Amino acid sequence: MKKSLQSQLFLNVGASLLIIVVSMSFILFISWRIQKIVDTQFRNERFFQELQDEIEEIRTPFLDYLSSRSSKALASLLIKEQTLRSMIPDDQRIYDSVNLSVREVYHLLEAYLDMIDIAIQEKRGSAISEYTQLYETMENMNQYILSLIDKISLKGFREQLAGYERVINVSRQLQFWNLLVIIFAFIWAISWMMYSLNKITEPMHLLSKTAEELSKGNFNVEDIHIEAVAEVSRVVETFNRMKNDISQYIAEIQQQKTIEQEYLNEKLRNLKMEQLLKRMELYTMQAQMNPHFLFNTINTGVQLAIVEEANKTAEFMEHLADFFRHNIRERKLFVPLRHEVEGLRSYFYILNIRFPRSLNLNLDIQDAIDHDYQVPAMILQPLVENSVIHAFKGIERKGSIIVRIWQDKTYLRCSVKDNGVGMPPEIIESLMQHSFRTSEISSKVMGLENIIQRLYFFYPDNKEIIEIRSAPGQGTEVLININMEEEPCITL
Amino acid sequence: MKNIVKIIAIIFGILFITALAFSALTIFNLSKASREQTASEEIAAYHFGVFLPQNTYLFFQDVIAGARAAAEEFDCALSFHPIGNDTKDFFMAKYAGFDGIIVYPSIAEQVAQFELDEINRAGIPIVLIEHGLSDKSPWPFVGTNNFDLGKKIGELSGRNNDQPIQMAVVYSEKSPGILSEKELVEMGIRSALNDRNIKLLTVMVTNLNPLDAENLTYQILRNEPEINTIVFTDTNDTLAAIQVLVDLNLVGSVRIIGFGTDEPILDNVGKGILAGTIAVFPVEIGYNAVKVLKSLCDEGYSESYVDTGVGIITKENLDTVQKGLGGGVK
Repeated sequence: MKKSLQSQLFLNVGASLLIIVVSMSFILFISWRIQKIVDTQFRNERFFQELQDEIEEIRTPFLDYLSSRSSKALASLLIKEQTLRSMIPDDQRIYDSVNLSVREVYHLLEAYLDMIDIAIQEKRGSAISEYTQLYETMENMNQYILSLIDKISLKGFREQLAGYERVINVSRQLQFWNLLVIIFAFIWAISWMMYSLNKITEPMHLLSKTAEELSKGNFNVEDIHIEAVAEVSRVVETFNRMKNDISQYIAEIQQQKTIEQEYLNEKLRNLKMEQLLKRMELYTMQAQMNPHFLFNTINTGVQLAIVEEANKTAEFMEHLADFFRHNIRERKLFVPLRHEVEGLRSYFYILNIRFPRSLNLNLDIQDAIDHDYQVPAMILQPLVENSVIHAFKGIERKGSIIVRIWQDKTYLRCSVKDNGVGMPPEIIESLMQHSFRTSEISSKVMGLENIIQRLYFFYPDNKEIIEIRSAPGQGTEVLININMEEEPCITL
Repeated sequence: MKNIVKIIAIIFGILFITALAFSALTIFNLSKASREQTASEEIAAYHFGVFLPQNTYLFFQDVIAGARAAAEEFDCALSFHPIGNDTKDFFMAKYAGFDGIIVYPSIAEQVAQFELDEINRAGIPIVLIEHGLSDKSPWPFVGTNNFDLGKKIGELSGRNNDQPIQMAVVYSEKSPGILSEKELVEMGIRSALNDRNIKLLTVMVTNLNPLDAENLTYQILRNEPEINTIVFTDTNDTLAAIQVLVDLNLVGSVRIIGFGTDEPILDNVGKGILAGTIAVFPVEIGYNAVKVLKSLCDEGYSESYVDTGVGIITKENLDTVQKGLGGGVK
């Protein structure tokens, strides 16, 4: 379970403070300990000084009492005696040489105090010579005890002085170590706090960096994965979720935008198509105006030729009238194959009359073909017209145009082949582009390019709807391949 | 950055703990040393007071060394005190809580006798070493039999010497045990040389001054040229006499019999300046004194006399003696 920011901060700051408190407490303990050691070193000396003072001081009330038998002096003497007896320890086991001397002092003191009791009794019993002699002995004894204590104190002091010297040296070492303790504790605490703060602030830093990246529009940055306190973890988690959600929304918007773009493109295409259709309709209407007039005029000519008995002229003009009738009859985009073939036959008759020696025309149609199959209107005659106009420029020999229509499995194939000058590859490539060259549409709307673009439009999924096979000097074959199982994209 | 801070924190954490540990160890050692200094373990069952003359003679230093060795062996504590007319220690002995005392009574016999009686009345066992007191109070005695001492002196003075012996014996207040029984010493000398022509021309006594013998030796050698053997009963007197003998160029003419086993004495034995030296084994005296006192405390009785023996050191046995002092002395 992750710790909260508050508890994490509390723990880390507490730990750092604890380090400093421990080090300071330790230093304090060391100071106290050294003080105690030094105090212990000279405790005995202080005690002996006190003992010596008491032994010195008891002489006065003792002499006062022996001189005056004063109860005040006696009280003072007894108090002093009691004080001295309380200073004699019960434990008088035999220890080292210093303790042996101390032991002797205590025994001498005990004997001295016992003598005081005896002297008091002798004073009370007025045994003057006895207590006088005893006083003299005790005075010697008192002096001896004092001198003995002096020796002990001096010896002890000298020994403790050596010890004190050692304490001072060790204290210097301790000062050095304690200085290091303070320095290291301080640096440790600081570095610990820095580490802890880093631990807390690093996720925030990462968050700010990632947010900056997001603000630049880069939503591909990795999610933030980091160990942090509970609150920051929640923020990081929420941030990651928010980033991913925004990224997802943006992707969806972009997808929607693409769809919309595609929709607009489609719409534009349709508009263009409509525009094309309208132009075609306009062209047809424009083309219809004159053919109607010509058609009626030609019919008048036919009747006139019949009246004048010019049968061949009448036949020619009848075919011409059929050709125009065919051209103006259909306003639909798709017509039965039969209509195309009939139009082509009339055209061929006219061409044979016009170019009886220079052009050989051949129409080869498979017998079993479905003449009612719907094909785009005006796709064969313009191809033949194109060959007549362009294929034989500069050629003296007799030209040949062969039109073949046959069914190949599910395909209806229409071929217009000439033996003319052929077509340069760059022209073929230019013609085969899936786009209108609108500037030229007006002039060549019924030309080869018009047929190609119309076929592309009607059959967008058939990549081989039209092929041009040509080589310079070897003629050109334009082959239309209509999949009879494929419905054209539009049927008007 | 985070890692660097972490490493710094770890390093200084370790350094802090190390410094803390060293500091704690230092204060612990100091506390331990302080405790050891201020608190002592119980070491002894008895507290014996040893009262010896306050001087630096090797004899007494060896006595102390012997006593200490015995104290360690027999679980006793010793406190050493001076005895003399100018110190009260011996007079306070009866009040000082001793379990027993060892005394070299170098004070007036009467005073010593009185104080010893007082101590005895206080129920404190007593052992005497090298004393010259009368035998009225039969306290145990540890030391040399002065008759034997005299015999050894006679034996040494007659060794390798066919000439008539014209002898001067110099006693010393620094060796009161011998001084007090000088008759016994002389009897021993005569006993050892009973078939020899010996003449004890002079008997002299030096005082406590360590240089006193120098002047005295001059007097002997100048005033009594017939003397061919001088016997000393103290180490310092011997060393002073050697200097005079060398100064007067009388080495070989006058035989000097020294006293003690100090290094300079043994050196002079080796050089042939001294004919020999008398060894009384003070270490054994000290050792046996404690041993006897311990026995007295434990059992209530002990040997009344322990003879620690007398030895002769000459050029012949010097090597043996120096290798293990005491081994070949007797």
